[in-house]
Amino acid sequence: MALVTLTERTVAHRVYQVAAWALFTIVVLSIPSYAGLDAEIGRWSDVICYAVAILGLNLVTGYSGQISLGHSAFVGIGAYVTIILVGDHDWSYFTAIVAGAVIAFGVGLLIGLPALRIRGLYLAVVTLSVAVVFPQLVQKFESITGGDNGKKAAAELLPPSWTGLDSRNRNDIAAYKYYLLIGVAGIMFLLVRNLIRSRPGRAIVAIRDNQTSAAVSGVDLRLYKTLTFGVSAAVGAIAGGMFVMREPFIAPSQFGLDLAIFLVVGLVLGGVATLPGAIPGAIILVFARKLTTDHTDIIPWLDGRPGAGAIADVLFGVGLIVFVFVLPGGVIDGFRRLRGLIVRVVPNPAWLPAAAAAAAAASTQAVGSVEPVTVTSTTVPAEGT
Amino acid sequence: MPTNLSDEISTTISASAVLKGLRKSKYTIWALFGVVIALFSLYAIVTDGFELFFTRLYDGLTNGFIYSAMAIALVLIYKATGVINFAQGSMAMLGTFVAYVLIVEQGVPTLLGILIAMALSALFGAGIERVLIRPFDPTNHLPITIITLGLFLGINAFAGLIWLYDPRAFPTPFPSGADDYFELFGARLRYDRLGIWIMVGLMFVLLTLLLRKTKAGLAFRSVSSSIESSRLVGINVGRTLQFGWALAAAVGTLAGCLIANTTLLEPNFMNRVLIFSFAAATLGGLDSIGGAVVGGLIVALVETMAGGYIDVIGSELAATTALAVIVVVLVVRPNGLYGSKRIERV
Repeated sequence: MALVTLTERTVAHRVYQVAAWALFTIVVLSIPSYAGLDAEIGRWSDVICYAVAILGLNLVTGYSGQISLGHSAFVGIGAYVTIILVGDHDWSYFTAIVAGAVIAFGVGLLIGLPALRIRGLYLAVVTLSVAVVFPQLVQKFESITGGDNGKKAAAELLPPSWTGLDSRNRNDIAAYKYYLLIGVAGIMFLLVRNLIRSRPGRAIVAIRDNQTSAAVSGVDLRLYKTLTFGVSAAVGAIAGGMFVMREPFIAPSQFGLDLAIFLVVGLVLGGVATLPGAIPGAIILVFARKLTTDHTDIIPWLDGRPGAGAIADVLFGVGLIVFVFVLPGGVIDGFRRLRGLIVRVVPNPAWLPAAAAAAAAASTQAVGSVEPVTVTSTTVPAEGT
Repeated sequence: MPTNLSDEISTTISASAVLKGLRKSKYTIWALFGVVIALFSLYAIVTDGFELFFTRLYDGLTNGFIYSAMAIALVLIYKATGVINFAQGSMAMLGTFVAYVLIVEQGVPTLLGILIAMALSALFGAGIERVLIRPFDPTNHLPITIITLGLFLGINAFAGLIWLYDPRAFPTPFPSGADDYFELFGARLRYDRLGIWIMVGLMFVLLTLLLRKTKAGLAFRSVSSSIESSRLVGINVGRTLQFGWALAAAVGTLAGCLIANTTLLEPNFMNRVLIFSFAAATLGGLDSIGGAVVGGLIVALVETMAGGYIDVIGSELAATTALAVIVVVLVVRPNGLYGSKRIERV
């Protein structure tokens, strides 16, 4: 049983929510001062970019139930549009990222069109083709994309003087970029959260749960399926633009099939169809590799072996399988279960019709941890408590 | 102007009538395909001559049979479990490395080594089915798909750790000397390439016989059409699905061994092939073995011919074109060329 029981929408619950958010915000904002060195801050910036990319994938795979193995391409489109506009046409980063999102939205709509007729695994193959084709297209149009050698933009984001950060200090630059990325990511999470809770969001989930009954209930399947693909592609493209903000140098190999698969890995490990799941998913993607590569000397057989870092991929593979068996809801689900041991939020009987309140009370006693989904999934952040 | 307009209207009407007619008749589509292919071949022979055309044709066919073999393995798993096995290439790669160890390091005769590796792979496939796949509800595809993705990542990286990433030459059971070829239509056809065609053809025939003429094959076909009904008539569903996985793993390893000789053996050598095999299996309809063979040949021929003869495409966009063709086919026929339609009752 939980140590503390809070009733929904009481003062105590409000205080708990605000405190959890405040703690989460403080942790997120203080990361650069903890991390210190620019490489370390950069790694956390990577986490933010990956989190937004996973967020985009989650829209289409988690909420609308269509497996996409092609999100690397959308991330790549965002990255390339941003770097071309910033590097060759002197756009500012923010307008360039928006342009990238618009273009990716269009491409996403185009790829979403076959999704209307093709379902399930056929769609997985189509999106897989997109992931494979994208790096080849980049190589083909070498004159604008830089081909295999990658592309570099001279303009780098530097902290303006009012921030009090030194624009010649590498650590300060990294911290400045980190805060910018946090801002962009925050906006994206907020937008996607609102989308999921809105009328179109419910339509998308209805299509996932039962396509036919959604159509019968008046959901326009064609409209919403293509739109989901488009929006999800746009979110992915923003993540791509964020990668460019973090480091204005990209190469086609970054946006190949590997990225598409790792995004799926991050999505599953973090938690499918939950928004905060993208954060632990991205943290695992970035730090699991770093940790395992740094500590291969623990196993004597691996010590000094060329390519010993591949053990990270073995662990990702094993982790994926173990999670499907043990924790299908991902890290975020495990986190919620742990939190459920400490804090339990119960519905406020005053806000419910009397009969429903009685039923809720009965089932809470019977099951022990019934939580209203709306509270747990969105209003309390992942790193709270 | 008015005449132009009416002309335009009449042409659009006739065009739409033609389209409607095409949609109705499968044979018209095939006839259209035939005409396009004939025109293309004519153009190809006129521009670059006979010999190059047939050289490319043989290359395309070799690749096609290779894609077909992997596509057959994918189709077997799809029929058994209803998912696309993303780990199929990795499993085949592992089997090929086992064959490599047996043949090159232990000195087992090539053909025998391949057969032993196939048997071991079958055991491995059966084990995977038992341990990782059977605990899940076969109608819930997402967890099984994710497990195969996990296997893909894990097995590839694991093989990379053991055998590292240096490419190795893989032996062929067929004569492969510099002079082992004969000329057909002015182009050289090498015996080891011809051997691949024969091996894949033989495998296709044996597999068809196995599925059509044996009791295990009957059970497999029954389970793939309906798990519920099969259970009711007393088929051991788990055992049958396991049989499907074992069969697919063995077929995959054979394909891997044939491919490794044409490329080189290293832990990622199957990834590229796997993607084209996905495309081939999808094109064929995912649940049709014959469709997988046709799909493989089409994908490979589009890849080689379009890459070879159309300058804009070139070798860089050859794969892109092949995949684009598949997307177009899927939009017209969402269940592939030979796939059975799934009708759901609400």
